[in-house]
Amino acid sequence: MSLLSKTRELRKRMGEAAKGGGDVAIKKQVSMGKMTARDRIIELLDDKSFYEYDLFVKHAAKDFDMEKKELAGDGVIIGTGTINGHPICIYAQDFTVAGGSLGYMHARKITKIMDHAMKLKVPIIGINDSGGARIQEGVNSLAGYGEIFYRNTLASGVIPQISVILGPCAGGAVYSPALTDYVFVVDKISKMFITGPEVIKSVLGEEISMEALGGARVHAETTGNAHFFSNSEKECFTSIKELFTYIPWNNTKRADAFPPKPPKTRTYKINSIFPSDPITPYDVRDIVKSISDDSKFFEIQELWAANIVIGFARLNGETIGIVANQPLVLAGVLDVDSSDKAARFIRYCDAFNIPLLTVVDLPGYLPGVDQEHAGVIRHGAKLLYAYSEATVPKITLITRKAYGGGYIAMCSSHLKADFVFAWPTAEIAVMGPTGAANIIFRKEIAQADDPDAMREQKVEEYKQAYANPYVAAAYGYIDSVIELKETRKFILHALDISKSKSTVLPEKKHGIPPF
Amino acid sequence: MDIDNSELDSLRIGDVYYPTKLTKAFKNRIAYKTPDLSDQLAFIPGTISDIRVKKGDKVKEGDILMHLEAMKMKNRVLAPFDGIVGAIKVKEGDIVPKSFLMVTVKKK
Repeated sequence: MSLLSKTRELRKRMGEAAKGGGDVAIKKQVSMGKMTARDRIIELLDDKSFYEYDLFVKHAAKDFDMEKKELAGDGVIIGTGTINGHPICIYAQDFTVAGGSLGYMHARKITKIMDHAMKLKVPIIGINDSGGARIQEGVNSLAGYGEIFYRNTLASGVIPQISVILGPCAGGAVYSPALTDYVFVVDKISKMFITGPEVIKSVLGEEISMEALGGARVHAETTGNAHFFSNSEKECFTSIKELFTYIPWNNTKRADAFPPKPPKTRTYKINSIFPSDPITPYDVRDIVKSISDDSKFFEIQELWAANIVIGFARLNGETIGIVANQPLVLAGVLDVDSSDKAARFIRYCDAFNIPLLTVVDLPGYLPGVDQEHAGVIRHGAKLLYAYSEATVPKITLITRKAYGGGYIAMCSSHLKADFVFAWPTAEIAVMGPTGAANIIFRKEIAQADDPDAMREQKVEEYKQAYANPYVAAAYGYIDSVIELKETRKFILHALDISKSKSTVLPEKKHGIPPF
Repeated sequence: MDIDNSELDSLRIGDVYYPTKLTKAFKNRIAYKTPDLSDQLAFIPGTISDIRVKKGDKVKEGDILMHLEAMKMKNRVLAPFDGIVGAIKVKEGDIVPKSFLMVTVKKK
C-alpha cells in the first residue's frame, strides 16, 4: 500500500470513529438541547487547541453478545488542549455511544488522562453525560468507577478538578464529581442522583420526577452538590473559562496576575451601601465590590446557603478568596449548610495558595431543633478547623456584629488571622446587647419599680460600654480600627506584606477534620 | 443595590428581630413536635400486613399491633404502653407514606 492509501485509511477510520454513535443518535442528542461530546470540548477549549488520544480504543466486553458490537472510542473522548492559553487535560463522555455507559476501556481512557493531568500538573476537566455503569461489563464497570474515585482523591488539592454535568450522572457515577473541586450544572440538562425516581417509587412509594429529584436547580439550590448553575451549555462553558482566570494551574503555582484596576467607586459607594445601625440589611456583595478590582466578584454557590457568600475577586490584579456573612439572607447567621459551604472553600483557597479575606457581620448561629439535630455542632466545627488549619494570608474585616461563637469562627485573631481590621461600627461582644444586659443585670431589672424602663436603661449602658470595636482592640484582638474609605488601602497593604508568609504546622500524616 | 423591602421577612436571633430574606430551606423546615406515643406513625414508607388487633382491644406494652413491611424487612408496630386500641386507620395491603397515622392506643 502506498503512503497515500495508508493515509486515506487512517482518515477513513478517524472519520468513522469521530461520528460517535452515528447520525441518528447525534440527532437525538441535539434534539434534547445537548451538544455532542466533541462539540462541547471544542466549544470549551481555546480555538484549534484540542488534541485527541485513544480514538481507536475498543471496548473489552465479552459477554451478552457484546463482542459483536462496535462502540466508537468506547463512549468517551479524551485529550489535551488549552484554556486561556494554559494546558489542561479533558475527557467527555459521549452519550450517543451506548448511552455513554462506563465499561472497562471507557474507564481506562478516563484514568489515563487523569494520570496525565497529575504527571503534567495541569487541571482535569470531566464532562459527564452517561447512563451509568455498563451492566454487560459487570464488575469491570465497578472497578472502573473505583479507579476514577481513587485518582480524584489523590489529585484533590494538587490540580484543579472540574466536573461538568451535561446529561444524566446517576448511581455510583455521581461520586467522581462529588470528589472534585467544582461541579457545573445546566438547567434542564443535568440530572444527578444515587437512586432514581423508579427505584424510589418501587421501594418507598414516593413519586418524584427526575428534574425535581436531581435536576440542576435542585443541586444548585437545595443539596449544595453543584457550584455553578447555568441556563445553557454555552453559558456554562463561559463561566468555566472565567473560573480559570481566578485559580492557579496547580498547587505549586499562584493564579495569574492581571493588570490592577480600581473599584468603580461611583457605583459602589461604600458609605451609602453600608447601614451603620446593626439591624438594617444590605447586600454584602456590594461591600466586596466597593473594594475589589473593577468592582468584580465571581461568586460560587450563589443559590445555596445564601446566608454566607463565597467567591473570588482580585485586589491589585491578584486573586483573593472571599468569605462573607450575608445580612440580607437569614440575617447572615451561621448554620449547618453555610458552615459546610465556607469551610470547604477555605480549604480550597488554602490548598491553592489563594489568600483569604473574611468579611464579618453576623448575629450568631441559627437557633432551632432542626439545626441541632442536623448536627450544627460538627458542621460548625468545620469552619473553625478550616480557618485554623489554613496557612495562606488571612485577613479579616469586621464591619458590624461579631457576637459570640460567630465572632470566633469567622477567622478571628484567635484562629490566627494575620490582620484583623474593624470599622468603627463594629460590635465585638460575647452576645447582643439586649441579651447580655438581661443576664448581667437580671437582679436589678427584676427588683426595679419599672423593670422595662430599667432594662432599657441597662441595655443602653451596655451598648455604650461594650457594643463597639474598642474593647476587643484594647486586648489587641483587633489590629486596627479603620475608616470605611481606608478599607482597600489597608487590605492591599496587608496582602502586600504577607507575600512571603510561612507558617509551619505540627508534623502529622493528616488531621481528623469534623467531616 | 437598593434593597426591596417587600422581599424582607423577619428573623429573631437572641432578642432582636432582623429584617432579612428567608431561604427556601428555612421556610420548608419541619417544626419539631414532641412525639405523641398514642399515635403510631409509619417511621418509614411501607406496606401494612398482619394486623393483630381491632378497635377496643386491651393491649399490654410491647404487644405486636401490626407489621409495616419496608426495605425487605417486617417491622413490628408495638403497643407503646398498656392501653386500649383506639382507631385503626389502615388495612392489610395498604401502602403508607412516611409519618402516616396507622393506629392509636389510649392509655389506660
